Amino acid sequence: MTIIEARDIGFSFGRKAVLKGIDLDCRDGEVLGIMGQNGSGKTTLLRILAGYLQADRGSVRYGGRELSGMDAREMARLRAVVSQGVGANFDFPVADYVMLGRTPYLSRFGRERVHDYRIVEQALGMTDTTHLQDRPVSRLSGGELQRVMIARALSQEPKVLMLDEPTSHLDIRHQMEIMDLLGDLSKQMAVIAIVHDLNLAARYCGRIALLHEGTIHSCGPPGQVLVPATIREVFGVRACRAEDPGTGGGIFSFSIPGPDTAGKSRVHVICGGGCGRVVLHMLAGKGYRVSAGILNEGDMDLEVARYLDIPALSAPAFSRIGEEQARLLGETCLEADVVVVVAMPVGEGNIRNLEVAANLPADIPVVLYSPECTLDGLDCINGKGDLLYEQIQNRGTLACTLEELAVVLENTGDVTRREDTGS
Amino acid sequence: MKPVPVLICVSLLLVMAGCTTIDEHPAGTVTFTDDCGTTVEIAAHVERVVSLAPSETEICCAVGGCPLLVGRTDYCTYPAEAAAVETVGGPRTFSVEKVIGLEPDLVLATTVTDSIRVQEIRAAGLPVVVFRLETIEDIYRNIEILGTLLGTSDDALRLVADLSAREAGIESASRGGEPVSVLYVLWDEPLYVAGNNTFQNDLIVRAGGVNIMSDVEGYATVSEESVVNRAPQVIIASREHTSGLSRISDRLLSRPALAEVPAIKENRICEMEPDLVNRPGPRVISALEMFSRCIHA
Amino acid sequence: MHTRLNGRHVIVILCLVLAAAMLLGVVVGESRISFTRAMAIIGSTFLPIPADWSQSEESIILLIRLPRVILAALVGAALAVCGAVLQSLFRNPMADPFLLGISNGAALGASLVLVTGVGVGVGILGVPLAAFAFGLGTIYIVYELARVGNRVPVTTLLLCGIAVAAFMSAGTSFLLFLSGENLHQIVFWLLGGISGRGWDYVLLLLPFVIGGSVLFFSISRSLNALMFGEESAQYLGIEVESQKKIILVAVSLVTGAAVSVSGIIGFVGLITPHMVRLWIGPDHRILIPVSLLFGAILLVLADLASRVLLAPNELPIGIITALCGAPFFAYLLRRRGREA
Repeated sequence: MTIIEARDIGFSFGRKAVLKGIDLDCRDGEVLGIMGQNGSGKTTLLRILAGYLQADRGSVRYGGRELSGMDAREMARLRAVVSQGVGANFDFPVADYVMLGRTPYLSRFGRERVHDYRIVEQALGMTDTTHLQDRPVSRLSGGELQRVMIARALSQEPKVLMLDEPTSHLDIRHQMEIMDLLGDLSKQMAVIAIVHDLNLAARYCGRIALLHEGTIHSCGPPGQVLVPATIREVFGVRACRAEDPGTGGGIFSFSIPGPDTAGKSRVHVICGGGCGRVVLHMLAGKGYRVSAGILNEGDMDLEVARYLDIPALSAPAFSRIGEEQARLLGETCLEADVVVVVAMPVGEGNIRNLEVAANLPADIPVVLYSPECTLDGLDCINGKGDLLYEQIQNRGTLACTLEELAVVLENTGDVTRREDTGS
Repeated sequence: MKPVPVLICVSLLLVMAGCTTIDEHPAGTVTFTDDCGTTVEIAAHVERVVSLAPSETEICCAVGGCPLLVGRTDYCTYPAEAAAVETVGGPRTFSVEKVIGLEPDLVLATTVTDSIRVQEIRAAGLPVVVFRLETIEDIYRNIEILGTLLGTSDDALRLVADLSAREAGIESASRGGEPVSVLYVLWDEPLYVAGNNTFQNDLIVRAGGVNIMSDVEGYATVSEESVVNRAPQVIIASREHTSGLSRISDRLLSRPALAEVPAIKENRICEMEPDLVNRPGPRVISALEMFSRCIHA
Repeated sequence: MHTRLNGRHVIVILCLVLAAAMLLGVVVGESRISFTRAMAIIGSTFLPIPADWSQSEESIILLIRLPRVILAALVGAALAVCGAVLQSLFRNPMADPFLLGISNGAALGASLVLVTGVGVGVGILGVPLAAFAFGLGTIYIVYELARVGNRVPVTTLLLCGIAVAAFMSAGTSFLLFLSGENLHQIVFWLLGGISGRGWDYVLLLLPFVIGGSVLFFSISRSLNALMFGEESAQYLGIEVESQKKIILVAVSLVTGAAVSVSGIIGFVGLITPHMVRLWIGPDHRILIPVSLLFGAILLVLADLASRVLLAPNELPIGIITALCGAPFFAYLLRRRGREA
């Protein structure tokens, strides 16, 4: 059931339009995550939904009733808000603090009744803070304080619980505990939370509203909203989605898109079996114009290359590299300033990669990267592989760590460039 | 008034108290050592005088020097002729430039005058004479000296003789009678009164009264209770300069807490022109006469 | 661990202490009037007790000591309770009742009357009325300066208060400069005091203190919520802006009334609420009544000290409050610092 309907919300601070034409519904029984970059208007939107700020245009309705027609007391019975960083510098006991949530139900001189104490007790119980009730709020840890603040909100018996970054400043366990708690609470009320952590949001939010430049970029289940292209557009980072072995859901890793590649040397990386991932990341991060291959479909290195937007020569899954592909690889290597060969197990399927590398013309620098600093045990085809590795090592340079590789490439690149300018 | 003594002054006074000297020179100047021990060269025929203290203005005029006055302070409002003279500012805030600009050949000051400004004026080459005025005798001496400096010695001596005769008359009249308990009130809210070592105390005693606050040093705030408890027979109050407020004697009379005080009960409350007692000038004998009249009414 | 005292017990105990302090204030003074005689004099106002005392003794007890002690209690209560409320409203431990320039405005008003003598006809109440009017006027100016549309941001309010207060005190200084021979009258007013004010002033202040205290107690729950910030209070169903207006108006009226009768008595409004917080915690439902009683006790005792210490001289009461209270407060802070 829809509890909050926000329609065409517009809001400006002075001349700066913060929100433009926002439509948003908030439903019972779900955690709605509001996400977006810093300054995208998340907190402003939450404050408008909570009735603290008045939108310049548009309307917010709670169960069909216009928010602007309600007084503070009425609002406080409908929604509770856990704001960010509430200054709790007073020796106010937790139980009394949570009792503040009963304010909208108490009259001016009225004393708290048994009913109010029961509600507070329940709120403490739900947030697992009963044991803290005699402690002053000023002496709570971050996680405890967040729970106590939620308890206060719960004692308002709200239909909607709104939270502004409930997990910021918390360690990972407390973050997850809070999000778990929100998940539980969403069975009884609508929960709206501003969340910064994309993985946390993807895991715990039923729906996500993604704010971008004052508008809702997209809104829907995390699987639809949090896709790499959108993340790149909204947050300006490269997101790589992998399967979370724990939950079976997606998990993102992020990187900052590489710097400008103009003027950097071209590097071709021959890798496979996941051995080249770190090299590809490192090179892309340093801004080299990288190409990769030949890689079989399904190879983790190929996925990484695609994630990093690295052009890769590919072969069908579980197939041998054919004559035609080997020729293409040779051509690609000739265009490169440097060829990096990553030590990987070699079999019939990918032996062609090494053959091409071993037979490159002498003026093309080749670097062999072996993180273990050894080439033993990589050969799966009776010494043929070892032989090729030996040839490559003899004509090129061996790098045993990423740092070493980076230094070698830097120098080689310089040499190449110097030659370029010389000719 | 208890003046604010200048440090140098105090130390020098220990040695030089009362030994003011005047030496005449043939070159038309006189050398004069003032109450602070500073030696000043003054023209034999003074023509332009600036007074930096209301008491000096009054004394100057009393010895016939009013026509010579070319500058005064804001507070020098007596006598009326003096009030017409150009002012240089307040006694502690006057403009040094203005004083110098008036080109006086004699500047009169007291130990209450801002000493830094006095230094500045002296630095400009102008003769400044500083008087110390703490007792009635100081006033007589001041009158005589000023008479000499301004060339009106005869007037001055006559004035002193007149004043001291009046003083002696009052003191002898008040001698022998039953002492009258007196309270001198400077301000009523809170009660700000004159205690021991004040000019008012001196006047009360000379006029044959007993100051009920003589155990208090200087001017002090006291409680209504101590006034009720000490039951003064006479109250003398300073009339404030502010014209708009209700009169201080009316306020004291209408104060319920003081209703049982004999002076209030019998309406023996006098108002004093504060300038009369605050300014150690020739009118101080008039003040003494008023005290006496009030106390022996 | 924070020990919570039973609020009601504390209040009952403080009422008794206040009563004892006031009795002491009535009994002790320059003229030696015995306790039983003092009680008999007070009792005679509503009981048929034969008078075996002098008229002077009766005026000393009924017209001097009693109104003075009551006035001290009222002023202390007013300043302490206003300080407590403002500290919570501004969430600023440095807040005191004079924060927004009310005392500076009142001082200017009083000085104007004392120097120029305007306000003839109002008689003895000319100075307090001018002080009251100027105090309220100052708050109004500060409020209007700080107002942005419908809202009054607390920080802006504080800064405007500082600016306007500076302006007002410059005005007072200028008047002091001009005042010449009325100087001591202004200085006495600025030093503050409750000496010789009488029943008129008690009756002037009493309605403000009673009204203010009832109001502040009635909004103690809102004040509790406001301690945690205005936004948070709004979410708890409190109309923050209107509440703020009510508080500012009430504090201004009560402080203005206190200042107009007693001048500027510092320290009580600033330190009393802190002492009380350290002692019983920040819950306004107890903080308000306890601050009120505590402020009253402090000022009654300070007034007693001011007239006994150098009798028959009277010390300005503000000197006593600061001399005794500041070190005690520092001690409390140190002790708490060690406990924490």
